[in-house]
Amino acid sequence: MENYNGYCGSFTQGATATDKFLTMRSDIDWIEVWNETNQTAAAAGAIHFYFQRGMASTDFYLDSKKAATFETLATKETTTGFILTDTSIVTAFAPIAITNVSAAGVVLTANTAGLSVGDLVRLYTIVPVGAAVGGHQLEGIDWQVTAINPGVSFTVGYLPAIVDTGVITGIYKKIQYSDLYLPHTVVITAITAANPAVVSCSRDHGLTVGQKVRIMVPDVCGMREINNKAVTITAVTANTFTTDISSVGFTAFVFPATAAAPCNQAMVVPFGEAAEAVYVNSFDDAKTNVSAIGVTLKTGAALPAGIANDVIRWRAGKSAVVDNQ
Amino acid sequence: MIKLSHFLLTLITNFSKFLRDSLSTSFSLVKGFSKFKHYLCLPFLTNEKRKKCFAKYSYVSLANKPFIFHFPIWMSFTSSFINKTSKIILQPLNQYFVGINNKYPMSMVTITNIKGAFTIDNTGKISKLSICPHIESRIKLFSLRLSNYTMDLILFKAWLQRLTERGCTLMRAVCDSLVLRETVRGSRNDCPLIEDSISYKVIDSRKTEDELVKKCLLSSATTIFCTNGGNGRFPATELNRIDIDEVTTLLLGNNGMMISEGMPGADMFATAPVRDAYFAFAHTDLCGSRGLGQVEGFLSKNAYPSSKNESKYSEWGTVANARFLVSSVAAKEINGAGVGVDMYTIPFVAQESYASVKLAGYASQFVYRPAHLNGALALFSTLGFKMRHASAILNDQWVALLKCTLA
Repeated sequence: MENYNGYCGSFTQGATATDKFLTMRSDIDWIEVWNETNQTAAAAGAIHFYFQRGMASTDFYLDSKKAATFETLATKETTTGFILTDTSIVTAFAPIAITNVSAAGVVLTANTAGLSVGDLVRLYTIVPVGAAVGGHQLEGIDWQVTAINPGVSFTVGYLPAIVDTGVITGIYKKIQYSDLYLPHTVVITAITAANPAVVSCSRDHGLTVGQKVRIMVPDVCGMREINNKAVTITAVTANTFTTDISSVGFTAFVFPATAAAPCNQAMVVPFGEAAEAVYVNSFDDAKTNVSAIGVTLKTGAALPAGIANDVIRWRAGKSAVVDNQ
Repeated sequence: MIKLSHFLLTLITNFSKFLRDSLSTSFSLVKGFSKFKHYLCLPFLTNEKRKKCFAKYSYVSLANKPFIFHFPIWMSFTSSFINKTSKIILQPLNQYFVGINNKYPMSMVTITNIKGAFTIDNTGKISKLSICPHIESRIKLFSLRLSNYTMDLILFKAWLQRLTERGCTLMRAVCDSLVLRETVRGSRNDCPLIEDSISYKVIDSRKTEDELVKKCLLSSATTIFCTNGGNGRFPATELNRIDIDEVTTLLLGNNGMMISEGMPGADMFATAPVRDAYFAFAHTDLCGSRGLGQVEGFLSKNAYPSSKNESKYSEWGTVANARFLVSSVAAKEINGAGVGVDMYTIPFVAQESYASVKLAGYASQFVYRPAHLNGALALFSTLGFKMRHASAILNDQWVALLKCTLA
């Protein structure tokens, strides 16, 4: 039985070589790549790469050509050359211990592995130790990581000014959303009592000017006057947006105190679609599926995506039977 | 169009209604069924005649018409279009499937959008059957389960041939398809594995659809934590009446229309009226006494007052103005409320809050590819499904996500 669902193609690297993502209509079981540039050149170079499902993700087989002689050398490489990807799969990350959340949003943890600036994390079970304050009201919210001190801490820079939680026994989890659908819940951390009212969020909101949203504010957050109001956005920063209404004279907005937990949070709810263009922000309805299945070829002299100006040809497929015993 | 995947809210065509609508002419056969010979127009065919019938069928199958699918136990199948001029003989002890003929004229028999199945006993009584025409001889083994899933099918004549062959062995799942490998040992283990495969794949396809609908709903912006329970969990307590009411109140405040109409009380023991309701999709973990069971005012669907079966297959019960449908693939966040404490997200939806586009003829096609199409030695058959799916939230204000933990 031969393979089926085969794919093949080619690409040429530009002046600056980059990793190449090849989209497929289904996942694949094997892929092989030829570097045509090296194949035809007299100089030594990597010419053939092979990877199949069941191999370690950092492994692939490589045929290299020796200079001039055109002899080939077959080796097993232990470098990541192929990355199988399905962006619709949401990874569930393990909980990791934290010991403190400072007023400035610095979260102390000995484990920041796998965390990057821009990632979303949630905090859980922020239980005070001894006379510490704790911070249950911070739990369950998507906080955006704005800085990382590896192995020591990470910072959630959009955290509102709270009292230091003190020593706690808590956990954080990295959160990954599916690419299939947008938007996601955006929690409000502050609203100014000003004209115009400016709203701050716990993460980058992805809103655009002209977008209409509704502001939902539970009683615990004060500023009841603005609850359920539909507003139009007039200006944005990454995590704040300016509304077209005045909140002067409104009750002050307060981020819930520890004693208020468990509690609901203020949030932004989209109101219709983006006014100016389709799918330009994360609150537009997800009519465009941005997810993809495929494989990423890593760039490098001995890697499948090659280097600058290399001509790469590839084929991939799905086998009828994968029998890794 | 609102679609709730296998929650069966709007997509299932009622079998009897379909019969009544589509078999308006031939359904009259039921009355005088014991005299069915008088209505004979498609006689029980010999093998040779049956081939001609197939040829004819292939020719005319370009039309997209309702038809009846005749499925005798001991031989291959025949079929006939349903229209007001032709009459169809209904044979005792045979099984019939009603569906929409669609495309693929060269495949001899293709049936999609199957609406129902029935059989006839010696007395002429017609009984509803579960929908699973491809392994009729063992239909009872799993069709009760499968009948809860609507499915579009592509059937090949070769399918039946494969079923009668011995030595078909399920090797492993490959992506979204299964590979059946024919062995040469002459094993007597012929059918069960295939049946399992079909059962698995059909259900798997529906679960996939559920997953997609779930992901769509979970992208809604409105999130409410259960805060009025007493289990002391953060950030969400257990499910409780107050928080459920808050969600329904929120949807009402946003002018979301309820999906189901209420059921007035009936003079029956242990029943209670059911209110107009939004629908809520909960994880099956919440079915027990630590979930819905402990919520004040919870009414199991068994206690609905209607004598008719107006609840949905996946429905578990109702609380106030929400009816809960459950699925094993509904939203559950492991360790979502601390280590060892999972958190559940229950989307509450109002009418037209979201849409799932069902692309005609391409929704969950269940595809069997016989061995003779796979290589010179016909060693492998494949069985799988494919579908195109598009979902979108139409109005974020008509969807609310309620997060809770177990009591």
